[in-house]
Amino acid sequence: MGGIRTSALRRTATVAVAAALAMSAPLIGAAPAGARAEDPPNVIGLSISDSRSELQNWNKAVVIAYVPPLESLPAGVDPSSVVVARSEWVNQVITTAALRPQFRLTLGSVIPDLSGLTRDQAADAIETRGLKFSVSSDPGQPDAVVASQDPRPQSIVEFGLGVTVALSAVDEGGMSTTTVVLIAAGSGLGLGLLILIGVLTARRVGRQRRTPTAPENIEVRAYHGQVVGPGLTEPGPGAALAGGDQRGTFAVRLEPHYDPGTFTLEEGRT
Amino acid sequence: MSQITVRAVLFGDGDPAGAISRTPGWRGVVDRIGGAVGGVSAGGRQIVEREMTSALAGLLGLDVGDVLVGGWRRHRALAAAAHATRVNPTATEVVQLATHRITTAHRPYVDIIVNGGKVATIHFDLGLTVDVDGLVGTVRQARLVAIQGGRCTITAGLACEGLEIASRQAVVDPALTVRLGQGIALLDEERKPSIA
Repeated sequence: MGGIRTSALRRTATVAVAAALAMSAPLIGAAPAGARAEDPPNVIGLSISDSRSELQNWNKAVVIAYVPPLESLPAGVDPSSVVVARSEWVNQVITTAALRPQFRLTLGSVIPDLSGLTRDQAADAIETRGLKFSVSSDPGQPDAVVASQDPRPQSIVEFGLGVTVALSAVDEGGMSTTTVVLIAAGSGLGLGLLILIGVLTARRVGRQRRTPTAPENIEVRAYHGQVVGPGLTEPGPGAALAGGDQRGTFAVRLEPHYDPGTFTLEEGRT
Repeated sequence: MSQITVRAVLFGDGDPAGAISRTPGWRGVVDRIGGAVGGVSAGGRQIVEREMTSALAGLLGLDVGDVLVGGWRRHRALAAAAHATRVNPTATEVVQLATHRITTAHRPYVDIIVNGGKVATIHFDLGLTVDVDGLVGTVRQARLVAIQGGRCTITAGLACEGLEIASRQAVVDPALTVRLGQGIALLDEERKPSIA
């Protein structure tokens, strides 16, 4: 009796393993032709067709599953703009030479540069890529344009991700407030540099002026030079210079003559 | 008795160098000096200008009294009185001088020397005219021993390279202008030093 029960169990196990192998028949086969030992290529950012080609070049037996399936892309999405956002080697841990590699490629889009676009233009550019559009700030003007965005342009994201933009008003010259601020900041920076250069130049010139160059021995020698005169202009006798004294020149000479006197001596007669 | 110089006639008792530098004509002179000393630094040019005014001020020390005496030595009446009183030492001659004019012209110049090399010569013209009116002089022993009365009208002019720097007229008392001392020798032979 016991021997019959053991044999039955062995038959049941054999059937179960066979059934399991039969269920996994699509994944199991002979060793795939062209199987390579190196790592699979990075297909992030590649288009659907390019990613398939890259993987098949790596292993012709590769099995690729797209998420979402290619027949279920978001409405309005241009398939040519779809790129691989994420790549996952599903059976990498258990793969063997007899097992076909399976890849799950999650599809998405490349974030476009929205700067300068209006709200409607930006929304259209986002929604046709299977993404969600939202606005963080809006000045309320109909001609407001995108000043900033998140995620940044050229980012690769999966379908359904939200893209947030900030709108700003446009000034009369057609530039956004942010642009004006940037220009003003740049101009201020340039002006500051000019002032700095001017100050440095003035200080340098000042130092050069203070710095004695070559010693100069300066000497001034004075000479009395030629002398003419004095000359005398005197009128003739009885005449005078115009406007002057009409009296002529005359001289009075005083010649004192000493008179010793007359002495008389009379002697007495005896 | 104070000495009266041409500097005092032209610029008074103030700083002559400063007065010269403030005259309009001097600015033109400075411009010409600047052209002549173009290779000199700005500080060096200031030194040149300062030294020029100082040198010029020194050249204006001409004594008006000396100019008067120099003219009077040429006066015929005074010369005759000198000769007469020399012969007769006891004689005194009083001479009434008719209005006469004494003129003199000086042409000083200044050399500007930088680092041993002369870079410019600046010429000046100094003119002095003295009109003497109503002067009485006393001559004794061939010397002018006293002067009385009279009036001297002095006209001084200073120019540099054709540019007038200053011109001024002043009236002075000749008795206060001429320093007579022991008498001023009027004859050349009386001025020569005696040899023992």
